[in-house]
Amino acid sequence: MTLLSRIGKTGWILIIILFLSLTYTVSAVSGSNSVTVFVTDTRTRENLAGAQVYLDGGYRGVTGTVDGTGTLVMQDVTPGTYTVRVTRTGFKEATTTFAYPAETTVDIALSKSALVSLDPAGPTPGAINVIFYPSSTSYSCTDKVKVSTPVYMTNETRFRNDVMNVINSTFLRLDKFTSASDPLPADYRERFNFYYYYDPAAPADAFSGCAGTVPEKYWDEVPFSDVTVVLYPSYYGIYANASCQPTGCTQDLGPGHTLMKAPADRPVLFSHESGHALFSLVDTYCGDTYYYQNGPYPNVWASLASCEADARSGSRDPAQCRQIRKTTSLSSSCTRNYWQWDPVPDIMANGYSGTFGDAATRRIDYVLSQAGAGSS
Amino acid sequence: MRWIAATGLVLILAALVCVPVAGAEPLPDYQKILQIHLAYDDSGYSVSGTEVRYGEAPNLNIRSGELEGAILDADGNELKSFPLRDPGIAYGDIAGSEVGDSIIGYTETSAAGEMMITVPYLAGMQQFRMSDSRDGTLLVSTGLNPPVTEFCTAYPGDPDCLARLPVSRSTVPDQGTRLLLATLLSASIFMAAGLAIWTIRRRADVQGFRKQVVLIVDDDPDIVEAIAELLRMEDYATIAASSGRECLDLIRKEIPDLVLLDVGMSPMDGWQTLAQIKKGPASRKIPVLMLTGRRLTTEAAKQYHICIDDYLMKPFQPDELYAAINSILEREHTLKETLALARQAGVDKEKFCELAKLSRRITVDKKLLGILNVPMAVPAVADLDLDTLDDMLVVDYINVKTRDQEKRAAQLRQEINSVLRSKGLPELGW
Repeated sequence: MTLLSRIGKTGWILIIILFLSLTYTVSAVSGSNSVTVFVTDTRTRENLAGAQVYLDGGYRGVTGTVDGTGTLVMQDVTPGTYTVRVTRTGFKEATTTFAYPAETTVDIALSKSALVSLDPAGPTPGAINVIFYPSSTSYSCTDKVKVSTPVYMTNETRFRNDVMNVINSTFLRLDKFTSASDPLPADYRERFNFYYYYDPAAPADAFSGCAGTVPEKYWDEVPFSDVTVVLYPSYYGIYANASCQPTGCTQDLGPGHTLMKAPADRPVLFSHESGHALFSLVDTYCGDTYYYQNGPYPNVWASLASCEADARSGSRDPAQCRQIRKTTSLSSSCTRNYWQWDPVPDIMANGYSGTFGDAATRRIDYVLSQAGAGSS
Repeated sequence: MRWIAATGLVLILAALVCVPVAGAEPLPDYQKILQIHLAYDDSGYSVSGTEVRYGEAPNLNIRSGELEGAILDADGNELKSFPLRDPGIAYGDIAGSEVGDSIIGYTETSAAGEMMITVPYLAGMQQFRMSDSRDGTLLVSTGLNPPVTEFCTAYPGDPDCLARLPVSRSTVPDQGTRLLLATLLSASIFMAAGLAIWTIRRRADVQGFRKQVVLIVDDDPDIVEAIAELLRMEDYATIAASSGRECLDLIRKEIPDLVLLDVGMSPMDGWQTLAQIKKGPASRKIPVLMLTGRRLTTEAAKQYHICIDDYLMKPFQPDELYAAINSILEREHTLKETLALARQAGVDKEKFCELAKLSRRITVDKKLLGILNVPMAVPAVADLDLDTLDDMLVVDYINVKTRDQEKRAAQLRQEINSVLRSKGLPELGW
């Protein structure tokens, strides 16, 4: 009793620590403290080699690549509850928790990602990410209603081809549609990462809201999108007159959440819309649209003075600054308190022809120069 | 015995220091993002959620817009800023005829909706702010410690979490000294774990429960000082303004959790200041507790009852002040918590917001009715005159309005609770 009373608080703490230490020692000596992670493909149930495994956020290695077992043995695991995260290119990452030593194996199945990179060499870090999403809806010029269309939902190849055509005739030909006065970087094509997202069970709807809608789970899986393009196939019927013409729309709901809708068969309208969505260019036609001075390197200014000052600093003729207005007739006249510089036909004012003028080109050049520059 | 124990502890600590720390592992993919969910409506922007998770961020440098987002560190220094566009405007283009108007523009504006801002994880980030770059008005701000702490609780082994909460990692001892080293090692682990838990708790105390900021507005510096002292004793942070104008200037720079607003100031009195606060898109959601030495007039009650959150007559006892503040702040806190539950259950957001507004209105209106209807013998409101027809009409008006609101609130509550029940979630407690 006397001895016990002499031990004191600190002594008791030491005794407890020593007791726990002995327990640990016995455990350390008697077992390997290992946990085996098995990674498989959800669909094929085959083992997946080359998957990166993280334990509580700490990297532990990749699943067997030599023997193709799809397993990784994690050593030196101490008792406790852990989170395992597994990632692999082309698959959606997965996480699970386990308690050691109650569980000494962890099974994780990875599902194929619906996101497909269109770059043969894989994405370039920091490049501008453009993701195409197929719409299951289009528009009928005959019935004047939105219609469901199986065009993309039943034919991934058709969608992919349409995407490639759009890319080849717009983004990859930017040098043909921009001003030679400010040449784009020689490697500008490599400053884009193009993807498409194909999940027939979760299509986009181009005709729900101005810029269309995509399923919520997409934003969770693809947080890095600089622009998500909801692409819709040609209208049913014919583009007959002004009452039935294709539309485009852009809505910016924050970085990673910029949505753009455009038709697959109108490259100039597509370029106009990507001018908004990707390069933050402002319309230069006079009408019911949204104007602001889109600095740095704007193509629309809030005052004549700022337009002229920018023109001088860019060695352009300030006399070409003009107010955005239209005076075709008394009934359709239009004036906005914003100024433009680019000559007609300006793609930001035309849905059929034209180029990006000097001012718009300067802004495009700026955006391309910023791709990956200190954004993270 | 004590010196033996002390020596033992010293030895264990020495072992903790001497045991080699595990070398850095290769880090193939640790990209992380911060996602800030914002809701916007005609009253401005509010933060509906923040999250740190693994993932790749979009390019922030390619953007343009009239709003500006910024990530700040603990000292308020900007770690990153980026332009944003107004999320409520979608701009559409219809192809026109090939001659003439080849594009016809149209815009769609949404009065309410959600935006999500995804930015790269930045070490040391403490606050997010969004402002209008045209006039510098602060639109919304939020602390970033909670999402970082939550992430690091789930992934303590992530390098950024290790850097944030340094924890020594021990390796398995060599064979030759297995027993001794294992003993020392495990003791170290337990001590380190204890230390880590203590540190995490301590940090959580500091970061998770940020002091709530109360803005005191009164032109009498003695009253400001007295109230500030009372609030400091209850662990609130305080800022002060001596006029309505100074109050509005302060609010543009920092959104407090609550404003204590004196009615009798000049040249801008408390009611005028209140009206300005409620006009600002970023400030209209700040709860306001009116302080006054005068009676509440039916005219003021009629005009401002929808703007104020409570009304306190001077002089008041400290307990009355604390009770009024706690009631308002707890109401806000409860609303935020239940909003998260409601979102999880898929409750219609508009319904939830309507119920939240009604609930607040009913509570405040009942309090005002209590003040207006108080017996004439009570000295503080002895000169309250409810004899005039107008005054009676105002009281009747608030009475009827409150009853209608209670009916609607009961209906909404029933609908929302049935959704929550169906998802196995707890029903609303208010």
